[in-house]
Amino acid sequence: MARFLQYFFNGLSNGAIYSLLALSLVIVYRGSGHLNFAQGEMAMVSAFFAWWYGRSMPIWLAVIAAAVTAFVLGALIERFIIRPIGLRSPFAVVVAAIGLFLGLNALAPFAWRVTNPQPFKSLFPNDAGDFVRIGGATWRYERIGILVVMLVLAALLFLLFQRTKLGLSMRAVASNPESAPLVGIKTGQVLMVSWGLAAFVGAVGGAMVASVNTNVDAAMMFTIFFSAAAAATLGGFDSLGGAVLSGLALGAIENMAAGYFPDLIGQELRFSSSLLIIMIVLLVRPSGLFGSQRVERV
Amino acid sequence: MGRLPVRIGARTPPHWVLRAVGVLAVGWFLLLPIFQDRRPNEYGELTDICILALAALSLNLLIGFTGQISIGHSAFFGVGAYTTAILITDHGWSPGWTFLASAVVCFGVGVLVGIPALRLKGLYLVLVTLALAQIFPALVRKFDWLTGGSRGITGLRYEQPSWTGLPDGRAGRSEWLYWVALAMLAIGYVIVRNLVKSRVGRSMVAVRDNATAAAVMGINVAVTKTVVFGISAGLCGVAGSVFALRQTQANPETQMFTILGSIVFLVIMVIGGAASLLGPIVGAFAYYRFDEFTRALPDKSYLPEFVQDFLTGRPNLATIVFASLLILLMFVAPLGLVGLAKRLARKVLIVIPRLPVAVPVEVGDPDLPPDDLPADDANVALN
Repeated sequence: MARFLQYFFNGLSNGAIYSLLALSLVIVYRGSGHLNFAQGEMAMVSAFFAWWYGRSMPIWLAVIAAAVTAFVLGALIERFIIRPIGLRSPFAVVVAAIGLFLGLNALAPFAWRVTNPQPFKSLFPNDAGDFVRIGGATWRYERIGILVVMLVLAALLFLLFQRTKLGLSMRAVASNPESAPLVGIKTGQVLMVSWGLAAFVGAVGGAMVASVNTNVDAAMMFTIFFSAAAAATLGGFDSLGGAVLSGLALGAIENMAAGYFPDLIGQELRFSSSLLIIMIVLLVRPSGLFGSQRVERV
Repeated sequence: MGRLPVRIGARTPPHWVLRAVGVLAVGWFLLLPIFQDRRPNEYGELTDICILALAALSLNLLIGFTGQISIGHSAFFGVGAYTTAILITDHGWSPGWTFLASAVVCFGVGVLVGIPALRLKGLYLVLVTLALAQIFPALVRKFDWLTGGSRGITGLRYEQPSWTGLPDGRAGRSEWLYWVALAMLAIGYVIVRNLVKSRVGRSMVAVRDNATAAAVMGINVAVTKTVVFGISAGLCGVAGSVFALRQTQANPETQMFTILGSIVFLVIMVIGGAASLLGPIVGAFAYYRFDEFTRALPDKSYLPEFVQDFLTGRPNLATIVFASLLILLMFVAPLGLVGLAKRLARKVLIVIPRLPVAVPVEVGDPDLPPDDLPADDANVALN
């Protein structure tokens, strides 16, 4: 039991990071219908901003400042790269996003003249004794902290989408982009806010990864991005709750599969095993667990 | 001569002349090595371009014409490479026959992946093919009794046959491999062209534009999608076979067998022009030369001093320039280089298509739409 709980706790906090990034992917998808390949790298650049701000201010303040920076950058990327190209051809957006992915990945080391991982202060109490003991398993404060941050952010997003006028117009654009402008919604602004918001959430995720790794590095988001994309797909690409739940589930399943079958699966096939599960789920439910099924008109 | 654009009718003598010039130009370009002496590494570059073009061609058949998005083609590429490597080293096959075996094996794998993919659309299909790309290198490492694990399989060679009269050793071998790669690309091109221009091709485009409407019109959507998936995988597998011979080895660490390979194929397909026949070939050339150009950048002696000062100690300049060029290209040529060329050419010359039925229409009627076959539109929804 202790072993089960240990894998479960550790998996949950990995999963919380997937959830954060999956949330940003879902927000972008609901807005403009794109899979943003560069979301992970945007989060990585934001983590570098947090590291840079953190030299001259408290680390939590630096993370918030970096997230705000990310919001602005995300909105600008939507307005000046994604939208003009998207009007021309949907394929071109995919390649532009791949271009952003490559470019941003190279940009952080270029801008700050660093090639090695840089030290990053942990955001949570991180000493040897900082854990609670539940059923024989240890649950470290920093891992609990990540989970709490994710849940708080998800709750705020839920309130934003369900209880504010901005959220209402975002939902309107998501459900029918052609009719939304007819009822007076400024679609362009909504899209910019969607991308900004996604970058904001992603930036928090990036800071969490940096805090767990205790460093920032250009390659830190690469594998996490694919896990997050898998989580977003499993949840059904347009569902926020789905992204949260399947991110957590994915983290837990992955960790248990790797922990219980170290020879058969281990670290090597860890991600592959979760992808296999998702493939099977998708064959039964082609729009993910919580995705909305669309009725097609001919 | 009147005002531009000049209008000519399809399949009239001027149109035939124009086509002949085009074919000769492409042929001359590809057969250039006959007329010029080249160094082995130049043949190597051309071989790489042919391999990339063939892989992008196979992807274009699937994405551009049928609208099924795959980022798992690196796995088929890898399966092809390993089929060749294993057949040569363990079973003593002649490399030429392994291409056929790769095509068959990859067709089979492609159909196996294509059947479950029938239920999925858009991003959900992207994820399943991503899984394929992700799992392949891991499986190669796991089944080391067959694949040699992470050491890979080395020492693959395709010796030039004596009838070619090519010189012995490395120089002749790399030239021979170029001709093999070119032949495979030509065969692949002919297969894709004939498919697309046939009844099958029209059902592919119909499935892409609206699967439900296509089914209503009597197209077997499931068979079309699955078979195209298989053919696309088979072509990509042959590209992988040639790649293994070019690398002289198959190794799971090779970047082209990971998701990065799929991304390269996708980029080539789009910068060349999705749903255009020549697109992947143009795209492969452009991609390779772009890449080469940006890699050569670190020699910065021609830049002004303050720029050089700015750049000292900053890594990754090549990647940043490459990525910026890629994004810029999508602004200038969102339908790819072939799309851009077509748009520019239309300002100079318009080919009036001949109507399928004998209707008395004067050739050169300005009311007719320009030469725009439905198969050339890249209006595929990604969601």
